[in-house]
Amino acid sequence: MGEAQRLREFGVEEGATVEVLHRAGLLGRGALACRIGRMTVAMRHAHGDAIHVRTDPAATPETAVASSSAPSSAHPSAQAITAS
Amino acid sequence: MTAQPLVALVGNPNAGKSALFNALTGARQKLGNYPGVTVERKSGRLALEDGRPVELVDLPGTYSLTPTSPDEEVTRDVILGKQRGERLPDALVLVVDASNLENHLRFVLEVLDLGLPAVVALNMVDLAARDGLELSPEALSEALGVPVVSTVAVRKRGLDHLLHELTGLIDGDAVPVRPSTGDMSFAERRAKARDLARIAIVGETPSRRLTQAVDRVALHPVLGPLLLLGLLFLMFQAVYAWSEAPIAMIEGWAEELGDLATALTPEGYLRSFLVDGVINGVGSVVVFLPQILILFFFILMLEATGYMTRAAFLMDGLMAKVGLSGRAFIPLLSSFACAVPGIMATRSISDPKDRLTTILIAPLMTCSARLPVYAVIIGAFIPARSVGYGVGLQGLVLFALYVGGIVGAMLVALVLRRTVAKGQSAGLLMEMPKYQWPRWQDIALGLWQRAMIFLKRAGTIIFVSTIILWALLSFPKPPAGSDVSPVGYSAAGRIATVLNVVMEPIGFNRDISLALIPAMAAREVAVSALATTYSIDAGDDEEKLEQSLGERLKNNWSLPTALAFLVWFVFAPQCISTIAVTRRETNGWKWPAFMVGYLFAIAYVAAGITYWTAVAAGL
Repeated sequence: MGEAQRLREFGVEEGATVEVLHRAGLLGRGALACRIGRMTVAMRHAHGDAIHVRTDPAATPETAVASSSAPSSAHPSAQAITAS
Repeated sequence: MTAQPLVALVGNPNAGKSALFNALTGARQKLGNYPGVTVERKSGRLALEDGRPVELVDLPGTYSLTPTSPDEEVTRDVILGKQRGERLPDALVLVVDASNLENHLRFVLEVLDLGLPAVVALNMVDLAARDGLELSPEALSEALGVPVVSTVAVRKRGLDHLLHELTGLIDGDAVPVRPSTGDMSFAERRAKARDLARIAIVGETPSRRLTQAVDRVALHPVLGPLLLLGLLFLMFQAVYAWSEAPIAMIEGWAEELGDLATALTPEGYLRSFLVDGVINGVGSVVVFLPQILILFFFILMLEATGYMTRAAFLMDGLMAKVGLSGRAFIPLLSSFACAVPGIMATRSISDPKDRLTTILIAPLMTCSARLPVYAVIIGAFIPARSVGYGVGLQGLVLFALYVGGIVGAMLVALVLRRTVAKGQSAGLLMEMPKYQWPRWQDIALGLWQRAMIFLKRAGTIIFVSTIILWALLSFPKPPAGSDVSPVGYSAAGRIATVLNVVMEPIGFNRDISLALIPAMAAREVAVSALATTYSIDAGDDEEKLEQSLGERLKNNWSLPTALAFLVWFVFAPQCISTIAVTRRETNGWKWPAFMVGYLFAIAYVAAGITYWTAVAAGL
């Protein structure tokens, strides 16, 4: 509810481009820093998991490598389809 | 008499609203509270082009008119004219981040629908230009139907133009017809905002983004935490290293003032009151102003540059482990300055259990009021030598005390989240602003306000409690020829003797028990209390009078006692303001009572363990 609203206010919506920039944490899964439009937003994996994404076929090889080494449902550079 | 016109600053968080507010009002600011809610009202006076005064109010930042916190509710209610204790603004300044138009314009559209006269401040255009964005305020103004002004608040650019437009709005001339988006849904309004952004952005060249480059290091999984730790370590070393000279200066003044008072007053109660009570007591606290300002300087810098949210991001993993949100890191870091604003800053945490836990552990963050206590004890008992690599032992001990508080807080949070504040953690969701070099005037203004608050405390609470203590310590006088010391015979001495029955097992002496009572008013009073006690105890003994507080402590305390005293102050709830603000923020006495109880228990046990261990180790 409140958090879904906040995600939408941050620009997470159908068709928006989401890119994972940073992952925090030496120990376990830390927070994610995502680029949404022109904004950088910090979120936990629970929020990242709630954003349905489709990997952009035009993603650069570098980002593609990053995604395979650290699997997550929020792929680096992906299109958000819906936000719950 | 008609009230001055009211102008409100409205905008998303991180739009640079506060910087614009500072640039427009300078030091002429008034801090207050909205009635009935614990939200700060920040207002200032602004002169229009023709010199007419208007009141400018800085409303809390919000992303939309659907509030998720009490702060955001105030913003909505003020611009709807529904906020108690506030009139409907005559005009709004809508502050938007020029490099994030798509998001900020959606909120602008939402606010413009309310129909209040408004001007849009396209703020931080310099950062947008740095990112390769070329903007046309004219095109945006035409599309929005309201004046649009480019500003760089931190460089004071565009302010004259903004004032010109505001003057026009206040005079009520030329109110253009604006396209209404009142019946639009969130998504439609967003789409419209995107169209508007496309109109406003006339050129975009891809450029190397400074923020992203810095973040590659600052948010790096290995380098990031190291950098954060390094910054915190530097901060605590600086508190010692940079403060030596100014402290010596203040001490010199206090000494001269004491000599002057001694010369000007006759021998007797008046001199004792002035020299032992006022100058010695208050002076021993004021002397820590440089250290407190250094600490605040770092905290203000971390906030203003945008690093603070990075710290929250890095700490989130650790915070999650004890059931807290990374968001709690910001209130907790503020608590290093003072727990009162720290506890008030927990309002940004929307989950009630998260928030309660953060409030309850905030007093464990070592606040600046404890600094005088630590500084005087460390100065007296810990040798000022280097442990190598330019790291001082004293700074290291101070760092350890801070770490002790943090570790304690984490353990307490862990327990609380499994007992009284059980529940799912709400997590972290926040915008990370661009890095920005702050305006020195903003930092200076923040430091000035903090210094005034501290000196006001020294002038009121500390002054009054010092005087009461001086009286309790000075009377009744022992009869001539008595072998009981003056302090031991006094009213305060007798109270402390009773209290000391409880405190003796953990290594505290009567003077400490005595100092703990007035320290409930403000922690730093413990120092002035000890100063007054030993000053009166010295009586007319020339040799004793020459000694500094540190030397007097050294003669009266053992090292284990000093260590136990330090550890006591890491945990003990020695401040009435903190208890009062906890009561206000939790709406009742239940949680403050719980807080005081658990903190005293931990303080007693921890100080005891320290004392017994130190004695056993033969220190």
